[in-house]
Amino acid sequence: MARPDPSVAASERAGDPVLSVRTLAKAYDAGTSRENLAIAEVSFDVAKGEFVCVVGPSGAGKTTLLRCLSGLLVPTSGEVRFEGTPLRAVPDRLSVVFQDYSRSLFPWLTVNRNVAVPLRVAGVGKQQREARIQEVLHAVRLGDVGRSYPWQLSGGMQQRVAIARALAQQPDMLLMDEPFASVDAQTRFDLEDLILEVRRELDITVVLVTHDIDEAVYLADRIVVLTGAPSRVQEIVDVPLERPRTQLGTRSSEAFGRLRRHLMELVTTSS
Amino acid sequence: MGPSSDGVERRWSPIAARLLVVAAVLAGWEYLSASGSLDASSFPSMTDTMAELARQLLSADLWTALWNTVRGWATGLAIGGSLAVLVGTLLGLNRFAYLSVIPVVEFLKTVPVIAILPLAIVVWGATLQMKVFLVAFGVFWPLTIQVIYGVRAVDPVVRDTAVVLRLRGVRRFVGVTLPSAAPFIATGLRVAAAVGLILTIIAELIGGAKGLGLSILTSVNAGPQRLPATYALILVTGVAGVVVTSAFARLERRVLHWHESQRNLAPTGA
Ligand SMILES: Nc1ncnc2c1ncn2[C@@H]1O[C@H](COP(=O)(O)OP(=O)(O)O)[C@@H](O)[C@H]1O
Ligand SMILES: [Mg+2]
Repeated sequence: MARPDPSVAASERAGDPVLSVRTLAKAYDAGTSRENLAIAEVSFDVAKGEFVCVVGPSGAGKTTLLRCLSGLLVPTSGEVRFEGTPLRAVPDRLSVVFQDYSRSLFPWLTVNRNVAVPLRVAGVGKQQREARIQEVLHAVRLGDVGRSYPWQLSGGMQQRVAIARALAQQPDMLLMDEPFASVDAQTRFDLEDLILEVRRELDITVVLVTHDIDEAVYLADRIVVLTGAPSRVQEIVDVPLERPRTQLGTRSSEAFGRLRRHLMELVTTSS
Repeated sequence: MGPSSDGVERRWSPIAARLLVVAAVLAGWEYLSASGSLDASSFPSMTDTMAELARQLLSADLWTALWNTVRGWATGLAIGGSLAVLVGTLLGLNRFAYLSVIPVVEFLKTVPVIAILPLAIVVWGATLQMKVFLVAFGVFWPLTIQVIYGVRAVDPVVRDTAVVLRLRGVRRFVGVTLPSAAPFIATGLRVAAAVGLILTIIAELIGGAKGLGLSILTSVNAGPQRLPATYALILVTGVAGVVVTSAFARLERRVLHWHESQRNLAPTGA
C-alpha cells in the first residue's frame, strides 16, 4: 500500500480537484490466460492549475495510466472523474500530447493543417481558424513553418507542433506522455521551459508522465511516484521550489538536490 | 560518370542512357536478322517490323484496336477498383465481418481468373462486357485484400490521436483512415492496373473481343507474310504496359509524396 500521503495540504488548498483518480486498476486481456495486470491500484487528485508529474520506471504502466486518465482506455476497476463527472469518453476540455510526435502528427497534412484539425472539428470559421493557428504556433515559439510538413522539421519542432495542436483545442487540462523523451538534451531543456511558460500564460492544468526524475522535479508542483508493474502509488512528493524556475538556477539549488535524492531513494528501493 | 550538381543533367543522363540501350537492342536485333542467326520465317527483321509499325500507326485499325483495349481495361479497372475500395473498407472497419469473410476472399483471390474466362465467354460472348467483367473480377479480389489491410493498418497512436481530436464518422474516414490506407491501396492499384491490362489482352486473344489481342491473333492467322504486323502489335502492347505502369507509379508518387517511401523521390513543393 501507499504510505501516508504527505501532500494532503497541497491538494486541499485549491478546492475541488479537476481530476480525481480513485483506486484505479487496469488489467490487459482480463479473464484470459494472458491476463496482465498493468496497474494494481492508483489514487491521486489534481487541483486546478496544478502541474503534476507521474514518474515510474519503464513498463510501470505510465502510458496505460495516461490513457485511462484521458478516457482512451476503460479501467478494469476504480474511477476517474474529470471536473466532477465520471469519465466516459475523452472530455471536450482535455487534450493529450503523445510521446511519439512522428506518429501523432499526421504526415499527410502540413503544419497549418495539422493544427487546424481540432478547429475544423469545432466548426471554427476560416478566418478565425487562421488567426487561431497563428496564435498557437506563436505560443509554442514556432516561426514560419506552417506550410512545411511535420517530417521536414526537427524533432523538437515537431513536438512543438503537437503541443500547438493540443492548445488549439483550448483545453482546461493537458495530459502528456513522456513528451520530451525522444529529443536531445538541449532541446529537452527548451521544451521543458516552453511548457512551463505555456501553462503559466494559459493557466492550464498539466499532468505529465515521465521516467526522468530530474525532469519531474524541475517541472512539477507535485510528483506521483509509481512502483514498478503492476503499479501502485509509492509516494506523492510535494515540490515547493519557487517559480519561475530556470534550468541552471533551479537545478543547482540545494532544495532541488534534496528532492532529487529523495526520489532516487524511492525509485531504487522499489522493486 | 561523376556526381553532378546540374539538375538538368542529372535528370537527362539516365534517359539518354536508356535510349542508348534501346538503340543497341534494336541494332543487335537487325544484326542477328541480317546475319541469318534469326530464322526469318518466325522472326522478321527489325527494319521490316518498324516499317510495318509505322504503317500501322498511320492506319485507323491500330488506333481502333488500341481504343477498344483501353476502354475495356479502364472500365473493368474502374468498376473492380471502386467495388474493391467499398467492400474492402466495409470489411476492414468491421472486425466481425473481417473475420468471417477473409477466408473466402483469400480463397477467391487464389482462383486463377483465366479459369472463369470460358464461363464469361458463354455468358457474354466476344463482347466488351465479357472483357470488363474479366478485368473487374481479376482486379477486385487482390485489391480488396489490400484495402482491408490498409484500413486495418491505422497506427494505434494515430487512432488515439483521432479520438483525442474528436474526429468522427466521415471526417475521420476521409481525414485519417483513407490516408493511412492509401499506401496499401496505391500499391494494390498499381499491380491491379498491370494485371488488368494482361487480362484485357487475354480476353481478346482467347475470348475474341475486339482489341489489340484480337488484332495480334488475326495477324498470326493471316500467314507468314503478316509476321511483321504481329511483332509490331506485340510492341504496341508492350509499350501500353510500360505506359500504364509508369503512369500509376507517377500518380502514386504525387499523391503519396508525404509517405516515407516517397519522401526522397519527389519534390514536395512545400
Ligand atoms: N495494448 C496492450 N495490450 C497488452 N498489454 C499491454 C498493452 N499496452 C501495454 N501493455 C503492458 O502493460 C504494461 C505497462 O505498459 P505501459 O503502460 O506502456 O508502460 P510505460 O508507459 O510505463 O512504459 C507492460 O507490461 C506492457 O507490456
Ligand atoms: Mg510509455
